[in-house]
Amino acid sequence: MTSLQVWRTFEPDSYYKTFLEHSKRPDGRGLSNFRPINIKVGTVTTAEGSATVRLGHTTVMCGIKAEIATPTLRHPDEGFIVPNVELYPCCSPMFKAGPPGEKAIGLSQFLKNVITSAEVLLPSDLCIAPNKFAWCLYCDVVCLNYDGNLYDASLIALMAALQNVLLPEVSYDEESEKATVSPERTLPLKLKRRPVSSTFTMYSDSIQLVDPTAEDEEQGSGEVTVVLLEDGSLCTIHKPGGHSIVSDFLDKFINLARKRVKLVNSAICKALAERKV
Amino acid sequence: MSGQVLCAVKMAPFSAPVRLPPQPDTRQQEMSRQLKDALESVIVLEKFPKSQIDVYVTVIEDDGSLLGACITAAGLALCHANIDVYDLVVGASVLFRGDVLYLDPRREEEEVSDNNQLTIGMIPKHAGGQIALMVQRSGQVAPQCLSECLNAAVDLCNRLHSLAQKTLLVHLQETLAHSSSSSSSP
Amino acid sequence: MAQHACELSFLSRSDGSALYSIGLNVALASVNGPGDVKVSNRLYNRSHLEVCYSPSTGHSMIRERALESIIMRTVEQAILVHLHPRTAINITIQEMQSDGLALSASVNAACMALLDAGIQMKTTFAAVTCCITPAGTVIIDPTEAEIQESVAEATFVFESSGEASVLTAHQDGRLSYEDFKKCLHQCQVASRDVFAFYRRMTEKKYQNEAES
Repeated sequence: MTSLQVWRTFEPDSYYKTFLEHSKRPDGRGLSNFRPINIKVGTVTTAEGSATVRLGHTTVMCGIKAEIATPTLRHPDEGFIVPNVELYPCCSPMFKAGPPGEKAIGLSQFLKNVITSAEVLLPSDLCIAPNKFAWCLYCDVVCLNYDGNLYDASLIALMAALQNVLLPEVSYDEESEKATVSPERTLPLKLKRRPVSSTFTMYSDSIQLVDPTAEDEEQGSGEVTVVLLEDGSLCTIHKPGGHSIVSDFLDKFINLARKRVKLVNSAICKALAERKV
Repeated sequence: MSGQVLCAVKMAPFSAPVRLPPQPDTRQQEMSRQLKDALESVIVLEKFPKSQIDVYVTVIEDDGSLLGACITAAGLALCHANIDVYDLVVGASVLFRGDVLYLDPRREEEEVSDNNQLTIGMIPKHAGGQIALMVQRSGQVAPQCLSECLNAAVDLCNRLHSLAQKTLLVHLQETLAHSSSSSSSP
Repeated sequence: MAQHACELSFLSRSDGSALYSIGLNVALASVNGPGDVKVSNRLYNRSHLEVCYSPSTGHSMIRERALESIIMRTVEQAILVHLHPRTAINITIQEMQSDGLALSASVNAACMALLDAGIQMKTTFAAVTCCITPAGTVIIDPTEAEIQESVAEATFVFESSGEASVLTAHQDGRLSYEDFKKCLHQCQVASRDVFAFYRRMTEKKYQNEAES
């Protein structure tokens, strides 16, 4: 063990604080630098659409399975999008086996909120025949390696996977009330908007860290996630408790997040283009 | 009291052609148990008194020979975690239908009815090669046919073992090269 | 703003409780602790917080679990958890009636119940929900119908100490950043009334105790 490792193990707080005093983080980044993003789409053949995203060491995988379901009575012409986040003990000792924990549930609900409030996809586009058949898209996000900032990573994976989905064409026969699936003819989804999130960790009144690693999250006190659309308008702000912030810092976050939107969306486009070649 | 092994195989909901519900089904529970049986006889448990070794496997995509792949992955991970084992454990699967043998079958081949599958987990370099787990499922099989399959599976395991060994060696060399380069320039 | 009402010590068996209503939204919060804690939850340097939220109908699903998590993270910041190591503080919230402001009503109920239980806090906190109509006007404490027609809704939890410090923010729906700031500002102004209301309720409680 080098003396640096000893310091990190026995005095994690002072070790970390010393980095911040020099406006650096233990992984060498500045306080307002994002980690590199690596996206691959179509990584799972058993899913209708899939994507693997790496954000530094954080690796998440999103697979979308489509099933034909019956619409609800309340919304007879709407399909379903069901996001679900699974944090297996494989990805970090923080997570235990068994029913989904607080973090996984929070993430699932966050993805659901983003999809509905950004209107990523109109539920009516997923309808095959009103009152009879509609697509149900199960969007399962699995974390393979946890190193902080699951909010951003899972939303990027979800958006990339949605853009990778190819649904078979379904024709509905009114007389026999039967639907026929033609797997040879596939159609992509019509996505209306492409939201991008940016997460910040609050360390103290004056120090905020962009794109936190697991260590940053542990040392800091709470996260803020802002989700922006391509045109720069706000779609969701999610700040579940944590250190309080004043609105001046929100300005700073929004400015950083606006730059991030273009960056992430072009990275997704690039990954999709690579797949097509 | 010697050490205990806890194994959990989780299949991602999108890993199979039909979406799996997030709760573990009987197949996952069965695989977890079989993996535990295999690893218990491979790990030097006497070296870990009063402790537990957790082995978690996440299946991203299932394209046949799943249990074999899980065993090989777990074996490599155990070595990476510096846990004492008798030998690097590898798993392999053989499928037989009538007179035809399928080495390392794909999912479509597994799904066809009236076939027999044999999965073994073995430690090829310990005491002249020892089998840690043997699972034969779905169907009847004649003893002489079984021994033929077993030979094929053992042969496959031997080949896998040398590949797995090479992987570990490459990883070790990379780690050593990395640590020597970082320690020379502090 | 909708009518706020609160009854402290609503339940006789818990350490502190409050029935809080904002318009047609009613939440009942009960606080127990600091008290016994399961060994697996025992923290050596602070008290363990547990929030349980039960909906007015049906079982606790993803939405309720996510609400629990938000309330827990909010309350955690206000309570001086380090004063009671190796203990647990339980907060149970029962949604009685909901008209779009379930989160605000339960956060405020939790705050009043904590005050009623006499748990040391660094600050009190108040939640305010608003929504913004397509025309761009901000409605404080909207009804469910108003939320359905609006373009976006936002809930903020403010600290009573400090200048406009936001503990929790949760916003859904599309709006420009300028509109968002407008919402934030108006909610902050509204939060002062909520804090004044808290003060009146607590004063009334202690006055009654002094008389009896």
